[in-house]
Amino acid sequence: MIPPTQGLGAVVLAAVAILGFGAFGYRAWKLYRYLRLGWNEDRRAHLGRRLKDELVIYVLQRKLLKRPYYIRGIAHAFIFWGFIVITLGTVDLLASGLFGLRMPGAESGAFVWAVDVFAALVLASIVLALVRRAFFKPPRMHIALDGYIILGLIATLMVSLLLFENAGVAAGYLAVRQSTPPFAQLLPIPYPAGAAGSVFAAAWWVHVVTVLAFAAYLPQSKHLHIVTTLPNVFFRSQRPRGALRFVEQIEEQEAFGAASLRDFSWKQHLDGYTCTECGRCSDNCPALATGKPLDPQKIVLDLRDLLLKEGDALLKDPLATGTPPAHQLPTKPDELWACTTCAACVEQCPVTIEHIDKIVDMRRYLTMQEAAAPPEAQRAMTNIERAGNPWGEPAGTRGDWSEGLGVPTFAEMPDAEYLYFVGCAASFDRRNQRVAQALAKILTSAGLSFAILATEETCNGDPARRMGNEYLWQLQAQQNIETFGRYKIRKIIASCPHCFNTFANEYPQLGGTYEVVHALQLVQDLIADKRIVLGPGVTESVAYHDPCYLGRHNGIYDDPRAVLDAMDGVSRMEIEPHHRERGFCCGAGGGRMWMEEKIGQRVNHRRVEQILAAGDAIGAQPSKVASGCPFCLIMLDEGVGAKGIQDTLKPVDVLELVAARLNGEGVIR
Amino acid sequence: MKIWVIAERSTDGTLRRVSKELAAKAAALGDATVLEVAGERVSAVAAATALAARAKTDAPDLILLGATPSGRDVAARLAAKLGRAYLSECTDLAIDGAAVEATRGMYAGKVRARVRAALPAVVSVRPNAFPLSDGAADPQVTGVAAQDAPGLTFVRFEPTASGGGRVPLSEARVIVSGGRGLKGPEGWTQVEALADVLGAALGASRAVTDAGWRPNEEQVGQTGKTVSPDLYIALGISGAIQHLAGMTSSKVIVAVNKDPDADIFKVADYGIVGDVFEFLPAFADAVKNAKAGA
Amino acid sequence: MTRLLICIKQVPDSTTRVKVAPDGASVVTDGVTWSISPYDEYAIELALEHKDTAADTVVSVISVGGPRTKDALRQALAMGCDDATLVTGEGADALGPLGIANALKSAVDELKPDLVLCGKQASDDDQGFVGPALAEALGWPHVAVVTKFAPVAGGTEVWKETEGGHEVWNASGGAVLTVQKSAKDPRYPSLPGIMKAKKKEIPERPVAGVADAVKLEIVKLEPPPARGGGKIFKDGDTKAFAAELATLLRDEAKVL
Repeated sequence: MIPPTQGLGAVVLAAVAILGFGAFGYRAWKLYRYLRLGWNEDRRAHLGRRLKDELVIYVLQRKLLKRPYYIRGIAHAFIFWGFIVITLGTVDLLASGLFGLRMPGAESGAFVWAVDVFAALVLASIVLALVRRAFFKPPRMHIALDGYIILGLIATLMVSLLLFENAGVAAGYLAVRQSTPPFAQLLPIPYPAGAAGSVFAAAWWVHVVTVLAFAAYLPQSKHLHIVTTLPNVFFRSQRPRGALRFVEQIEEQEAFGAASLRDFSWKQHLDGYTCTECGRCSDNCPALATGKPLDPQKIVLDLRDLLLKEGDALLKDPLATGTPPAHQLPTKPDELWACTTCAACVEQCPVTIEHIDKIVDMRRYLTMQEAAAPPEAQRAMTNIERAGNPWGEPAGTRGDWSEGLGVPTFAEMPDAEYLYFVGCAASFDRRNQRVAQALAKILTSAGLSFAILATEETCNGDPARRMGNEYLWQLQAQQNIETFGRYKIRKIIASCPHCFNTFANEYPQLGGTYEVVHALQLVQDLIADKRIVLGPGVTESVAYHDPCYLGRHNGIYDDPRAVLDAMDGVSRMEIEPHHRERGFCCGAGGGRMWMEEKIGQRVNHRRVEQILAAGDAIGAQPSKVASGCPFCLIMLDEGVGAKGIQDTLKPVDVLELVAARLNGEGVIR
Repeated sequence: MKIWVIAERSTDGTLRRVSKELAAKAAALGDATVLEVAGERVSAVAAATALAARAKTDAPDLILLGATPSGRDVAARLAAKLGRAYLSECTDLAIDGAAVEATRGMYAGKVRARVRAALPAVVSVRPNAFPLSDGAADPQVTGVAAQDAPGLTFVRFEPTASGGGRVPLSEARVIVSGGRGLKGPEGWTQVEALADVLGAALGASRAVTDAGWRPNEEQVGQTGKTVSPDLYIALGISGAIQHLAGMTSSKVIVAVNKDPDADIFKVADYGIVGDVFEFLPAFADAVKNAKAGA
Repeated sequence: MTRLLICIKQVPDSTTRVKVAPDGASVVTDGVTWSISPYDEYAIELALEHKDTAADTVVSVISVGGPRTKDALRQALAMGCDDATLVTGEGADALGPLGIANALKSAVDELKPDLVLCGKQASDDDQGFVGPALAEALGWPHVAVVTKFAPVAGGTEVWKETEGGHEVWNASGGAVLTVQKSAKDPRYPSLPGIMKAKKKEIPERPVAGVADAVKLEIVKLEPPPARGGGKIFKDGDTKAFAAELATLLRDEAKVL
């Protein structure tokens, strides 16, 4: 179709384009300079994975299409794909309008059809979005004017596009051999003679000017994510999700953690520009859900707003640090300390924002720089330092749980194939000692060559690291790596997902690389290989609770379920809808196990309510809730106790159910 | 063998039981003299100065004090003044020639030590170390005038606002602690009654303080206080590690719980599987009787 | 400016399971984690809280012992103390309480603190002797089980915990305060604090020539009984159990 930009029109178009793109460019440059206030984190490695992420997450919109967001996810995907196609059309429009050049293929029927079809789909999706915003207010989405402006602009674009197509067709501007786009002519408007051309021109101008207005407005708006998602996904962390950022040469550093905008990396600031304010992170946050002051989206947005507010001043004065992020002020630490690092936010974020890293960076500042961690957290860290476990139980009693079970130590059996790293909870907590005993029984029954470290084992450091004490984590990790090295240990079994996670994902940062397996993965293999045979057991309904550090952090959803399914008499129940990647934290992660929880409802109490609700929904309550994590077990035990239902809903570890079926009794105490 | 007992009085003016116990023991061991430092709010320095002056002339071989807070305080200063050995918080004692041998706790009470020192020596002795026969008469007590302590003057007494005069949790010798098994804040009426009989401090599990049944200061455990009393009575507490982490270094642990599988029984020296509310009044009465018959 | 001196002792950490050595009269020190004695840590905390409010306060720590005692002093420096002194030399580990008091006295004479603080007792010998003995050696008064102190016109107000409340005493000059646990845990050091403490010079004073005449001899140590294996009463009359328990607590456990 011919652009109506002859003579003066081209000049006007050029002026408007310069204004629109100029405004965009000026703001974008400013934002880029702000972003560079952050420290220079290298995010270039793993190019292949980055390109794949770009395809899967950006192009294919994978992270939007998630339970329970399928409908709005699909609507967004259509807007997004439509945006891509129509942007190409826009490039063509501007190129031909300004310079009389056509984009290759722009005149092909396929392209015209694609633009047309997507324009209609986008319009439909926009209507859906507008209706949702206006009538089905999402719980935590910010209903800001910004959203309506953007939706209005897009709607204007689509309507004007369809209109100029319609009028263009009526005016006979269609190129030779081109088939008519279907949606543009759905409404056969009876143009008066000669009017079709004028309508075409008017709609064309409206469309093009709106495009340029959109460009000018975009960087002022959260819809900048249209642009920033591309680099934000590309430069997303390629660490395993369960690994926190390593602080190199920590003893040589002078400042620790994030206390000012300059202490966050440029990528953390890019996260802020990219946040779409969709609220999915907040929707799924167990802390927010139970009335804590933490709101993951607010953490991201507060940082962004602070950057936008103080960026100029910081750029002017290289020594200025600006206002510390609000979360760090001594009056407001509750936000940061409420985080369980459960990764529900990270899991749900469609644009790969790294919430936990920001929170932990700020905790690092509080803990290491200011020594301002909550007193109970400080006590847990002191206990790790002195007793090698966060409870301060006597280190010399670490191996006592195994008395009489014939479990060898590495000192006794230095050539054992596997190390069973018991962990602090199963070593010292009487309840979890029974889980360790169950696993020992399973491993012995399978004839596996394994040994424990007993008093040579010490806390892996995970609680300290998640409380922001990177230094203590490194000390603990080095000590364990040294012990592992002394016995030439290569294969590690962990019954605690936190031990498992830090060995598998974090110890490599210090050069400790092992073949690490969680007990339930191993047991699943042992069952599949028929190395253990499970006898009959009682008939019971068992709900499975996903531990965050097995599930979301390490993607181990299926093995524990397979183990449950392999057991005679067990019918597995899902805690709908909070299961698998939407599993709800027990409240113990992120070092919260050792901290007071005085604000709002206790997370574990909410979790127990969810289990009961899921039972109600299917009209049958489970008699047990099984997990694969000692902290979940402690929390669930406390939760059922608080609800007074300990006699009807018994928290167990899946390993206990397995061990009980080894001797055919099928009953556990 | 010349033995001094430095007596102490309760707030109501009567001799403390431990002073009577020591007087009886001293009389059995040798030539006993019971002294007390006259006056109120006498500093340990002032008391020790007065006693040391008298000891110079009287030359006792053994000086016994009750291991009360003030008894220990005076004993240490007096031993230092006299340049003598000091054995604190003994639970028994014997004379062996020119030496005294005693049993006392070490390593925060975790180890029982038999220690020995040449006479003359100063010893503070725990209450109940020596049985006192029923109806024993008060010993004759000689007053000693306190001397000035240069550089130290009493200003005022600041009573603790709340707590009804109960011992602070972290330093208590006996603690009665309640858990969710007490069913609600009302359950504490009986717990308090028992604590009164025992002269005990009150503790609680985290579940209880979280639920607001008891103030947070009473929480024992990982996120509360760490305690190591001589006697810890856990009522309706299941024994989660969060609680055990704060109390397993107690010397004697008593657990009462209706669940025979409760983990608390694994650390208990004495356990009763049964109903807490049946236990409480019966036990309070039994303690009263046991103490009266001691 | 106020100068505070805290005398600390390095002891086996309270989480360490104490093991009696084969000689039956000492404890195994191999594999033991050593820490500042808990009450001494509270003394440090009390002094540092004072420093938090009065910035011109100088907080010094001192300890008597062998080379590993430096770890305890570094821990104190990491918490925020300004300087540390180690009194050491042959026999430093074997000094009795009066010997330690004498060793500390000569250091106090030189360092000239306004107040000396220490824990109300060390958690290894559980004696509570060194504080009063040091005060005696200095000719100073001492106040025991202190929870708080504050400078006032004409000296220092010192809060001593007693039954039902606190006695407030005024120390007009130097005094030794032996410190009680307080509600607030001793502070966890900051990482810059730890790093600074690592690099700090710790001057040493010789322990030689200190008078240490009077000693306790340990005849025998009995290890703590292992937890578990307690007497559990079940399947019976709770009231009868309660009565029996009271008798056992009095006659067997001797805790009533």
